Amino acid sequence: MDFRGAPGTVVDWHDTRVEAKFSNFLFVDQSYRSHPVLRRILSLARKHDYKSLLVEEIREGDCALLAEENAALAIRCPGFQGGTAHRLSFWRCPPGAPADPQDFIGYAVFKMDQLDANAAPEGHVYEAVLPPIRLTEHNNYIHCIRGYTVRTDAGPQAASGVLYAQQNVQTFVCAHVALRTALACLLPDGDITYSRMNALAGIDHVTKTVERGLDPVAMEAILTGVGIHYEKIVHEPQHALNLPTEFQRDLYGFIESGDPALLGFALDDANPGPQGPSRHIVPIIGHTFNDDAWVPEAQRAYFGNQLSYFSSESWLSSYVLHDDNFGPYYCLPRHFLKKDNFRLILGMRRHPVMVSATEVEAVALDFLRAVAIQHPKLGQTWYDRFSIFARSGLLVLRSMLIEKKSYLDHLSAARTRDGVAVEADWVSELEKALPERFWMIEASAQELFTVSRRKFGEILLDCSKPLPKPLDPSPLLAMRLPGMLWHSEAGQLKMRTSAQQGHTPIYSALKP
Amino acid sequence: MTYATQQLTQALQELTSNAPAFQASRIGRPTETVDPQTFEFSAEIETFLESKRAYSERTRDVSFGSY
Repeated sequence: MDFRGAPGTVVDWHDTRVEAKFSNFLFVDQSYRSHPVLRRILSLARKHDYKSLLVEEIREGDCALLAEENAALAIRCPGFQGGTAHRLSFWRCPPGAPADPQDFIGYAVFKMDQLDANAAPEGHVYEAVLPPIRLTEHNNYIHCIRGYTVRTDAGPQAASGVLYAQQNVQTFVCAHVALRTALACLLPDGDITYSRMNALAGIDHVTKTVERGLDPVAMEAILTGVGIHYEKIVHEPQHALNLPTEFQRDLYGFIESGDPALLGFALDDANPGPQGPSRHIVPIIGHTFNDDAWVPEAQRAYFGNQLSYFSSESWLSSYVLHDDNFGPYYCLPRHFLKKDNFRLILGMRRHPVMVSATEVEAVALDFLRAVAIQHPKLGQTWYDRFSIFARSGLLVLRSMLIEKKSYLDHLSAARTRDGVAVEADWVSELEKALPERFWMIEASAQELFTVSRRKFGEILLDCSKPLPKPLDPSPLLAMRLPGMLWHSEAGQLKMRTSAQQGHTPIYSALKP
Repeated sequence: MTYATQQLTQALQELTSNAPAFQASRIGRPTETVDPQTFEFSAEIETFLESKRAYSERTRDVSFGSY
């Protein structure tokens, strides 16, 4: 029994309206030892216009997970006296009023641990699920949101969001909670316990503890143990391992495909210990988008970026993350974390992928340029514009892993401004020929992509095999451009014309 | 205006002034088979992919620091 499913004993049900003179600050100061993360969570509930706060005590006898956590602490801390938990739930209706389904906002579990008879209790937010404040209509793209059922005194309620958790320092640390958030997005159960993670990492709190944190090998053992695929990007200049590319491009490659990633970095530490500066790791769960960004043009024109295309990542303004030290749903500006501090990305994948986003984007660029050189003009305005942008090195490319069904739905729904769809027989051919998932690299141009949110077309590349060496066209599955369709068949490339000669909408997994 | 933007502007202007006639005859043409050998990949891309591969290989089993 976890904290969401455990029965609770009502402690209080507060009226949190401003007119009722409820103060988040006063409440947290008086009841939860001025805990800053809880204050952040209550401020998010306030943004969601919460009107009441139900506090329930969860007892060890009713919650096996609480008993398990306390047992682990008793092993780790010989003076451990016990731990208690409160489940706080946030409502848009007044205390005790009949609640409509949309009145339930979310919940947080706050755990207090008495680690020693003579010390003050240590508190942390064991978990919290609230919806993000900003969504697609605010140019925030968070792909990892999941639904949870929460038992409350007023009956079961539905909460949705990206699970947040905070370390307790003793039995789980920042790597555990970052992994928990990421795995909650991917695992069928929507969560994982710390005891399972520690068992997979060989931590028993006696012979091996988490005093120094988790090393990458332990994190990888956990991912492998639960069957999650991942890619590792490392930058360790002190060990002569200098990442040859920009880490933000790699990070974006995971997020844009809807998968979470862990981002590890070294702190600016004035007095580092023998192990070097301390490190921290956070889960990245989404991004924001700024269609008026100056960076893409300026980076090329003024700062020597030699790329011969624009990656859609250039318009990303912030990554959305949880930081267990501060709370859920913070924005990390794209250029804030420098490569000097960056150390590790563990990018999750729902399925095995043998080629990275940055690699397929480079290959797609070459394919598109080759097509534009072979067919510089078709006498169709939008194809010819595509060809000019491709030959000028000014295409915008956006890469994502996509499932066949999602792609075929997208393809079938795609219309030009004149309402022209792609030929139905081509969709049927692809339905038979495409694998279950693959890379889709969308090709667009600046204003077409950023403002109209449309594209010239897309190229589909195999994700199941490493790229051939030397490179050849075998990874190409299909390509759609204005007036022109390509697909691969028995090792041969087939090209045909299409009546769909204009631009069509870019792919969106999230509906506003 | 940068060089690339100047080139783009000029090409788009040429496209507009030569107002391509809609070539209805192109629609419905039979499927053509294209010789894959006609695709030439740039040395720059091969070099980039090789450096990615090599670095990935070097870092596959390393584990530094703790979090």
